[in-house]
Amino acid sequence: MFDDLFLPAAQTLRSVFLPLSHSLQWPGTLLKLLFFTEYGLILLFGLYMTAAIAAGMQNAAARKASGQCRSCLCSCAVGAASGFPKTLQAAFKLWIVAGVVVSLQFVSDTIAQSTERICRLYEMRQVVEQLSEQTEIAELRVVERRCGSEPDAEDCPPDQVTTTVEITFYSGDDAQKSLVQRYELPGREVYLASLIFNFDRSLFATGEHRNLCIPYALYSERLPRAEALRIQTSEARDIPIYYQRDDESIYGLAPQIFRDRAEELMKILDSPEQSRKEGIRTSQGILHGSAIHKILPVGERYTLYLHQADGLSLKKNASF
Amino acid sequence: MRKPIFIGLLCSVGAGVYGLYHYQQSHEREIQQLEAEAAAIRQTVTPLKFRITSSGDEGTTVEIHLYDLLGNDIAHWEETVPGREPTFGFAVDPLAPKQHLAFPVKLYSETVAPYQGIDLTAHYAAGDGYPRIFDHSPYDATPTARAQLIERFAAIRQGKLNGQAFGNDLYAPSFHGFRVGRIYAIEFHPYTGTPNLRETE
Repeated sequence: MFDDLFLPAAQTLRSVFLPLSHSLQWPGTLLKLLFFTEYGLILLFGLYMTAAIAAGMQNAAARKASGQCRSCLCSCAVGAASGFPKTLQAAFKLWIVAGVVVSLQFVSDTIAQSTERICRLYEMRQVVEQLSEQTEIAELRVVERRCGSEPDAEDCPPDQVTTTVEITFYSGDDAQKSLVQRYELPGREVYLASLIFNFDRSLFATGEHRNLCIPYALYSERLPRAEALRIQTSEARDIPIYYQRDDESIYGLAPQIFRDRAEELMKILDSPEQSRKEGIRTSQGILHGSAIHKILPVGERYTLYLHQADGLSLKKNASF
Repeated sequence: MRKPIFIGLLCSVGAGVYGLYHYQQSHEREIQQLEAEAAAIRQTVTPLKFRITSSGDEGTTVEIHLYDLLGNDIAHWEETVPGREPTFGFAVDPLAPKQHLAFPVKLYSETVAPYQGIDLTAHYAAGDGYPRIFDHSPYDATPTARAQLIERFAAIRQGKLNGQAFGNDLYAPSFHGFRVGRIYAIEFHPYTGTPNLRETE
């Protein structure tokens, strides 16, 4: 929460301090070597002594002529000694400047690293959130299971069992339940056939795409899929009801791509023959069928989820 | 007067540096946890691959290969099913919210009712009933874990999907179609418990 609030600030600070840190890297390192390591200090001391002696030598001749010194060595030594305060002052100023630059580099480095870490943390949270995102698609509930005209019993011959299942789709924006439908199937186990369109994971990890799922038929352990009962997934529009969302609700996606793909899948379902002729394939992912199934206990509610990390799962609704 | 101010200032700076260090360390730990979680979500295992060797009016012939967790081929054979959409039935058994097991259980098609499907479990059941697709896994490490997995597998072989377990069968719809000669892999995500069909290169 703290990082979420300060993310824009962290991003701004990073944009300021990262280039500063990079631009100060070379001068800062050089100054640190010269002024804050023993080898650098020895070198500077040598330079300082040379500069001081050179400054002293400049006035050596004048001193000799004025009689301050009789020998050349004396005039040099006096000259050097007279130059010491000036060069010492200059050296101290240089050391202060170097200290400021090195400190600035340290501070900008620290801030850049800290803000970089905050941004990285936020990005990783986004990636994990995207990858582990799951969308509620529908709720399944077995309303009734019968053995012929009698209530179901364990010893009932399998070919006489019929199951009435209720499927309720979640509508997009507010996950309200709608489009309630009931179907009667032979057998005990309910199979919900869906088309799954998996985009490449590298696309949805960044939030550009999401996997799509279109449940389209119900069958059972005793009813082949070729004879499955077609279910209704939308009321008037082509896009299934659980994908009819406002742009803002389509979490981290390009909404038009999402809708185009959903409509395309619906068209495939509406005209499989045409799709077969056209050889529907896609360069961005793979389309496959998935049939979730379970012998659902009568009355219990199960929710069908589509996971961003691929495919469908079925979970029993939690009770209070 | 100046000395206490200086000491106070020094203590504040020290506390600030200490706090910042720990704040950064907590970030570092969280980044590592998130990276590990992202890796776990992305992790897949491939227990089954198949190739359509022929497809026509008489049915579809599939060459099936089963693999353990190291990718060793533990069984391969051919099956023929009527129809054009061979369907691989999986039982998904959640061990924990972010840990699932998947067992290939049957092969059927769009024209065959699932109860008439061909059993796949016999091809990877060891003598003691252990599912060999989990060789080299933590379930294979101790006798207790092994016994627990054998028990779960036995229930699944009897068609019992207890508790939160469910079935998830994969197929390519006829209009999308399997291509003869191509190798397809069924990947499973232990984190979410979802199998996925993928065409290999």
